[in-house]
Amino acid sequence: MPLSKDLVAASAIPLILSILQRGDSYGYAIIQEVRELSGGDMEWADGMLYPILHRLEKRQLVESFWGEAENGRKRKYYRLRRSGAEELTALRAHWDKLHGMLHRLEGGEPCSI
Amino acid sequence: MFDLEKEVAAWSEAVHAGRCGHAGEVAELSDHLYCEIDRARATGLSDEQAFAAAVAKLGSRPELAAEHAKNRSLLQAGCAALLNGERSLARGERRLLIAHGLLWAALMLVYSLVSVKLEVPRTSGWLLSCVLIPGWFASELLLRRALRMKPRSGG
Repeated sequence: MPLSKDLVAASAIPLILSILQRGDSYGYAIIQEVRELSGGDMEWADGMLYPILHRLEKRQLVESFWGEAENGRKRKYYRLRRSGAEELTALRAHWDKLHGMLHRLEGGEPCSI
Repeated sequence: MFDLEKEVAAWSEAVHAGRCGHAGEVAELSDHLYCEIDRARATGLSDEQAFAAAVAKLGSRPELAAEHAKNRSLLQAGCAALLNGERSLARGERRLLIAHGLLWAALMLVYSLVSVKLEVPRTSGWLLSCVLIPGWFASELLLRRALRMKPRSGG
């Protein structure tokens, strides 16, 4: 089931930061990874990722550097900064909290957060 | 004949049109387009078809431009407004604005020369900064407003 536009927008930053926590990456690869992870249910308009990455860079949560792709093309890579990792920890806590609340409302086991 | 490199460069430039110091963003967007084009070509599409598919996946150009515009600093926004404002003018209108600017510049130069010649430097500086320069800006604004209100020929 495709995710709503609002949910896609809200989850973009934690997803990008999580991917970068696993290693340096670049725009196209990040989009492919999200697509794969969601089983195709999360469709980003590809171009929308870049302004978000630039905002994260401006907020000093990630840093960028230029490298070379396998085919020799110039490529911009992104790396998670320490402040980005801290932000990710906080965002994960928020999402866990939300998940716990929904789970409890559903009548499942209370989730201790 | 379809020139892929030219099309990719033109498309990436257009997204960042009016933005100062955007070479890095253009290169990044071009790299993304090439990645998607390579993928599409591997499925048997021609260069032209692959380019069209890649561009469609990136999203609409106005949407993208609007999203990038959110990241602009005040200085970059001012620069973009200036550049876009100039682009929206017809050739004749641009010439009129240039002539207007030159006329005011000449007026200020003549005034400065005359005031030096007449040896009234104390008042000349005041008049130049408080009357002539604001007068120039005011008349430029009025002229631009008049140009905007002028009915356009040919739609």
